[in-house]
Amino acid sequence: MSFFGLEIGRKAVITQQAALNVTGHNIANANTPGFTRQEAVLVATPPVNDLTTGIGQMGTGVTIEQIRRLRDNFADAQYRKENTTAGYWASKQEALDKVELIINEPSDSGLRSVMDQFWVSLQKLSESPESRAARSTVIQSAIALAETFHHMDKQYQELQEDLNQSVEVQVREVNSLATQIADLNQQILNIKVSGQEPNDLYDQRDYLIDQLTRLVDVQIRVEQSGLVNIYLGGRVLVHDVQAYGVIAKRDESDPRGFYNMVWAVDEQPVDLRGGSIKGLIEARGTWDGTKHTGMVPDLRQKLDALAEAITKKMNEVHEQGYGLDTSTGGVYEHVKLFKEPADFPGDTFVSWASFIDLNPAVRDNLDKLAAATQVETLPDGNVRGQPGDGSNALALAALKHDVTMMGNASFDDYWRSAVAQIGVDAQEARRMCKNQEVLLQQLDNKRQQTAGVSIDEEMTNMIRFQHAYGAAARLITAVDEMLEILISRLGVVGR
Amino acid sequence: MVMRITNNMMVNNLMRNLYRNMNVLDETEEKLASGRTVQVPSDNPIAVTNTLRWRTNLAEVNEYLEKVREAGNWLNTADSALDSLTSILQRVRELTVYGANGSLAPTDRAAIAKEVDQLAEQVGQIANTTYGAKYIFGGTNTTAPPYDPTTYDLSTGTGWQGNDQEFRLEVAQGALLTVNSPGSVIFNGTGGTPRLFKVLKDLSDNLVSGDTAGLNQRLQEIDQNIDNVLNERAVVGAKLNRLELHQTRLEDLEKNYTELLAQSEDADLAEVIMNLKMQENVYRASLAAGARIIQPTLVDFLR
Repeated sequence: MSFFGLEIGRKAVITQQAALNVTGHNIANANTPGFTRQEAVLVATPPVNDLTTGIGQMGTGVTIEQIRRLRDNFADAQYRKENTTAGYWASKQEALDKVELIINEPSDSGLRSVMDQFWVSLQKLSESPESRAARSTVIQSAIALAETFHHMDKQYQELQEDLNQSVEVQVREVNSLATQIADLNQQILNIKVSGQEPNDLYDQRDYLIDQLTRLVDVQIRVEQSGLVNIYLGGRVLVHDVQAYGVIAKRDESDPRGFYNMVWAVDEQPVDLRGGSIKGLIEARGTWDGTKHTGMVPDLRQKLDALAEAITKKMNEVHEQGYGLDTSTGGVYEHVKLFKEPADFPGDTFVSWASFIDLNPAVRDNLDKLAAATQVETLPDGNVRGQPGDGSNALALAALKHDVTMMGNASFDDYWRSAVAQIGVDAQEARRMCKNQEVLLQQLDNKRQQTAGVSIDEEMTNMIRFQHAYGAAARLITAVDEMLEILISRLGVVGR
Repeated sequence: MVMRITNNMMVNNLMRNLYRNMNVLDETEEKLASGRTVQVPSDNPIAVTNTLRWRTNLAEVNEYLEKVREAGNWLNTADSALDSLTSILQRVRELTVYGANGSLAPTDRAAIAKEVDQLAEQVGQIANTTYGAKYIFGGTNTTAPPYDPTTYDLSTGTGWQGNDQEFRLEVAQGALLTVNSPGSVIFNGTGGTPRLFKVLKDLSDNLVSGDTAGLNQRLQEIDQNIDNVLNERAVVGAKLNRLELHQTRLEDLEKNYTELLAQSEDADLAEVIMNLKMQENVYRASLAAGARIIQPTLVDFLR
């Protein structure tokens, strides 16, 4: 008989209490994002040879070997990979949602509707070429058409600015996450050298990595030391306790000055292969030295092409006709219906969609609208268009059906196909987004299967440890009583 | 192996399902509120392309229909003008035949000549018939009255303000219809018929002077003119028929396009409401299920 039993009891009480604390920690963090459930790994302490009884090895009780984090690393890797794809499509979908709002079709105020009104006004002009009302209608609907182009173009520009700002913000986020991860590496290193497991720091780091994978495509490498190295586009973003910064830098050659994502050290561009930043940049467009390419720039180019074709083709026909104004000195002055940059060198030309406008000569003088092809010679020898002749107006209206206007499509066809293209793209982005979210949900569930805190399970453990604690305490009491017998009641003979 | 399910998993799943059901509800409600199946191109790119096409076509057909009506009004105006002209010429013919009767006293003939003069004035008014503010017999010079008795030269026909140009309306895509009748042919003799105003003036002079031979000559000329007018009327009638054909065709098209448009963009209300009800039930059910799932844990049963 010795104090050995007391020692076993002491270990047991301490161990069960520690395990109960781990359970408590789990319950407390049941709703903490990124938290991983922990488990106290209980092991029997090394036995001793019992010399008193001579029966050999005797157990010496329990201790906690380690507090383990329960996490499925494979599910993590899968989740992060899909998270990058989800980020990419989410950016695209968000941009396309806005594009769909901008094109505003099908509606009664979209470009299609305005174009329809313009064609109808030309038909009306052909019907009553001498009517000032019919002339005003053409002028007003042409202005409405130009304004619709301006409005859409401006909205596209604003969308690009918004996307550009988001690029800047998200690049800064990448930087901040990289720094935080490097800091955590440092703290983890400090604790690891003392032989302990910094479980909660691991959790924090994993959570940050999850966020990082949404923004950019990174390769994660967990080293033997417990530190994490992160590679972005083939270069090191985080190495041990050092983070290498990235910055959003304005492209000097780009007239819009869009941001590029570059390495802070040498300003080399970051090779992006996925993630929400890539999605944003693709939607916003990049400068290739001569023009912007990307989703929104392509749409703007389509808008420009339409505005340019309308301007030039309408002008060609309009310049053939005669208005109600009279010639001077027998020479009739033909005018263009829409402004062309060559004739207005003072006006800045950025794009056709923002430039398209009625020729001020026509806007300010209804008579200049050339509805006629036939001339009337006035007594003084000057000429003007026949007031009742609407054949040039008819020729203008006929351009609506001309399938050579936009290469091999009419204006209307071209616009319809542009709208359809946006619809198809947006539909794809929406579908991809939905699929990725479902996939992420499943993968997250898979992770939660291992890492999530189950209240039922923790409650069960709590009761388990509570009972074990009670039993261990009872053991100490029993040993105490035995010692009592030994010390107080033995050997009373001769007292 | 039994899958390990945690409370957060259940809560997350529940939340996602609730969101999804709410999204579907939202979409259906939007369909119901707007009455349209497609709100943005991505809802159904093909339907949207069709919608845009049908709307454009509808706007166009409506415009053509308006022009058909306009052309119809124009032609009807011309027709009634030519109708009056025919009756006037018939009356002139009667008077000419009557006036050629040698037994008439000079005073009677003078009275007839007066009537002819008045009829000639009416012919002048008919030549200046307007539709809206347009002179329909002036060719494309629609703003000036073609016939002005003060400047009109009877013998040469100069002073006729109208021209020979055709005024054409597009009544269907590519179908041009000349709606004006050539006033100069009818009134100014450019088609070869004796100049109407000159015939009437000569007739009046012949009546006053009692020139029977001249009157017989006039009778022939008036017949030629009546023929000419009747011929024009026939043309106008034929055009009205053609117009009616166009109108029927356009009205059919309008009906078709309206139907196609409805098919591609209008929501079937009965179906939408039924779906809405169904989705409401699903949503309620998921809420009820949530209330059951979230609440109890072992905590609830421990004492």
